[in-house]
Amino acid sequence: MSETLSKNMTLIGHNDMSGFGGVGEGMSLQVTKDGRRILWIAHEGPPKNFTGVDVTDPRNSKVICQTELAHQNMRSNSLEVTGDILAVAYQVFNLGDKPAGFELFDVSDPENPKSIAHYDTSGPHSRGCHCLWFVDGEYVHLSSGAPDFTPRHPRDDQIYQIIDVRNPSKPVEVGRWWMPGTAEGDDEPLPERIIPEPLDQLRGGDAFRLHNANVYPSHPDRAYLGYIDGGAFILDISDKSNPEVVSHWSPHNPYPGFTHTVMPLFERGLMIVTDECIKDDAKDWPKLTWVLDARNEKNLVPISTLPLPPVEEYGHKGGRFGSHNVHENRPGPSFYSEEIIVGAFFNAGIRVYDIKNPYQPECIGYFVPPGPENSRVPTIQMNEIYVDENAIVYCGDRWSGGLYILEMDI
Amino acid sequence: MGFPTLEFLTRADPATFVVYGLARDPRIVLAELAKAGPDFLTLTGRYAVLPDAGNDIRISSPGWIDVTVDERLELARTDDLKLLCREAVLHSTSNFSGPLRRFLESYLNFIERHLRANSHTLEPAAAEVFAPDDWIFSAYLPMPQARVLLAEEADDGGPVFAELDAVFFHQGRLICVIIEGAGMVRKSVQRARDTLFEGLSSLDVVRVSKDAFAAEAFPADMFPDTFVNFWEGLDMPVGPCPPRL
Repeated sequence: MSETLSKNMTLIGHNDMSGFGGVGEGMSLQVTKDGRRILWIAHEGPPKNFTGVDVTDPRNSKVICQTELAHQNMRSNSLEVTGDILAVAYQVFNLGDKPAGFELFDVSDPENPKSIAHYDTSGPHSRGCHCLWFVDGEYVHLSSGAPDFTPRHPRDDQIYQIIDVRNPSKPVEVGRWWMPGTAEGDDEPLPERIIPEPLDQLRGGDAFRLHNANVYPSHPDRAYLGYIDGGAFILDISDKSNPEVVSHWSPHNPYPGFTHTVMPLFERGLMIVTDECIKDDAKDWPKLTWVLDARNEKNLVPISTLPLPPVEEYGHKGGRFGSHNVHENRPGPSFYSEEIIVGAFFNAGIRVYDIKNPYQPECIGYFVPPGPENSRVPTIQMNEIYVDENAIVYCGDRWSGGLYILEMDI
Repeated sequence: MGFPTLEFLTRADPATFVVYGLARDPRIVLAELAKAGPDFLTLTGRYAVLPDAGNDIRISSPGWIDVTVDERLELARTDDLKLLCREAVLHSTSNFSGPLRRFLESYLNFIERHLRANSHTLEPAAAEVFAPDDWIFSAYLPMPQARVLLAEEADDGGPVFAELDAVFFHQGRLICVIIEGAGMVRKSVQRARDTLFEGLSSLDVVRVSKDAFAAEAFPADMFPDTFVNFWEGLDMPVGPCPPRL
C-alpha cells in the first residue's frame, strides 16, 4: 500500500526516532517544570532502551534523549512516566539473564535521565518484566517473572506484582497474584491450553500469564488484568498483600486467546477488553476488541465488539491485522473519554470508535499510513497509542516507522 | 407549521424540535414526524416541539407518558403515579449513562424534598381535593439525552442535531444541562452545541460538574427560582398522563 488511508484524522508530524523507529508498548507524556512536553517511548527491541521526544510543538518534534540497553539480549517494551519519574520495564530473552525487572529514572532534566533504582525480578524461571503500569507515583504494577516464582508451563511466567515505590530509591514488593493452577505447588490444575504451541519458544501465545494490569487512582481498590489466554480478571486489591478475584471473563476458547488490555469505563459501567493479534497474515483472526457490560462487576457480559475493516482486504496485506493497544484513559496530560476509544490495530492503523451506543460501536476515524521503509513487513504495524489532553494522537510503528502524530477531527 | 421542516430556529419558523430519550438516531424520529402531517403531536415520549407543546413542559404535561386504562385503574395513590413517572424518566436514558442517571435521580429526589420542605406555604384552597404531594407533577419534566435540531444541514443534506445531556422547557426558554467532568467532548458535538447556543436566544445553559450532585444533593442554585419553586403561579396541581381524547 503506497498511500495513506484516513478519515477524520490528519498527520501533523512524524519522527523517525533517529533511525530507531521500532516502537514498543510504552508511550507516556511528561510535562516538565519549564512547560515542555516530553513523550517517552519504549522500543520494541534492542539496541535502544527508551527515547524522549519533545512534542511541545507536535508539528516539529525533536528527539532529545535516546538511551542504550545494557546488552542485546533484552528489551524495554514498556514504560510509564508520572511527574518526573520514569519507570522502564526490562525483559530478557533468556531465563535468568539480567537486568530483568524495572528501573526508575529521575527525568526532571529530560535530556539527562538519572537512575534512581533498579528493581530486580530476575530468576531461574524469569524473563523479567514485559509490561508495567505506573500512574499514581506510588505503585508500579508489573507483569513480570519473579526470582522465586516457578511456573508449571514455561510461558506462564509473568505474574501480577505490586511494587511500592513511594520511596523511589527503595522499591518494595507489597503484593502478587497469579492465575490459579499456573504455579508449581498450586492445588488447581494447569489451565487447559487454548492453542498449544511448542515449549521451546518462550515468546508468543499459548500462555496463561499477565500482560497488562491497569489500576486507576479513582478506584485504587481494583486491578484490571489482561491475562492472555486466561482472559480478563478484576481483582480486589484493597489489601494489596492479598489480591482477591472479583470476577473473570474469557472468550477463549472458542476465540484464539491473548487478552492484552482490560480498561474499565467507570462512569458508564463498561469495560473494554482487547485481544492482541500475534500472528501475521490473519493466522489468528479474529482478534477483537470487546465491549463488556460491567455494571455488575461480578457478572461481565459482552455486548459488542469494535468493528474492524474486512479481513479479505487487510488480512493478507502483510504483518498483523487486529486489535492491540488502546489509549487507556490514564491520569495526567491524557485524553479522557468513556465514549471515544482510540486504538492501534497493526496494519489497520489507528482507529477511532464512538461507543456512545455501546451495543453498536461505530468507527468514526482512522489513519493507515503506507508501510514504512526498512520494516520486516510491507504494511504499517501500529503498535502503541497515546492521546493527550488536547486530543493529539501519538502512535508508533512496531518495526521501523517511528512516531506518527495525528490530529483528530471527530 | 409544516413538516418536514429544517426551518427550526429561523425567523420564519422559530419552533424548536427536541428529540430525547433512547432514540438512537434522531433523524428517524424527525422522519416519522414528517410523515405524521399537520396533526402531529407536540409532545411525546420521544420528542417535543417547542413552544407548541406549551410554554412550560412539566411532568403534568400531556403526551410524554402513556398510561393504559388498566394501569390507570391500578394507580390508587399519588405515590404510585409518582413512581410511574420517575421510572419513565429514568427508563428514557441509556443503561450506560451513569452521570446522567445520577443527575436525574438527584433532580427527582430534590423536587420531592423541596416540595415537602415547602408544603406549608402552598395554597390550601383546594386542600380537600388535593394533597400537597400532588404538586409534584408540576415540577419541570427533564428530557434526557436531548438532541436539538439545528437550522443548518449536514454535508449530505441531512439534519444536524446538537446533543445535550438533558433539557427542560421553562417559561418559554430552553434550559440546556451539560454534565461536565465525565469525559472530553467531541469537536463535532461542541461545534453543534455552539451553533445552538448562538442561534437560539431563548436558551440558558447550565453546566454542572458530575461531582456536584448526588442522591441527596442537587445544585438548585444553578436554576431559576421559578423553576425550583415550580408550584408558584399555578392555581392547582394537575396530574400527568390524562387520557387522550
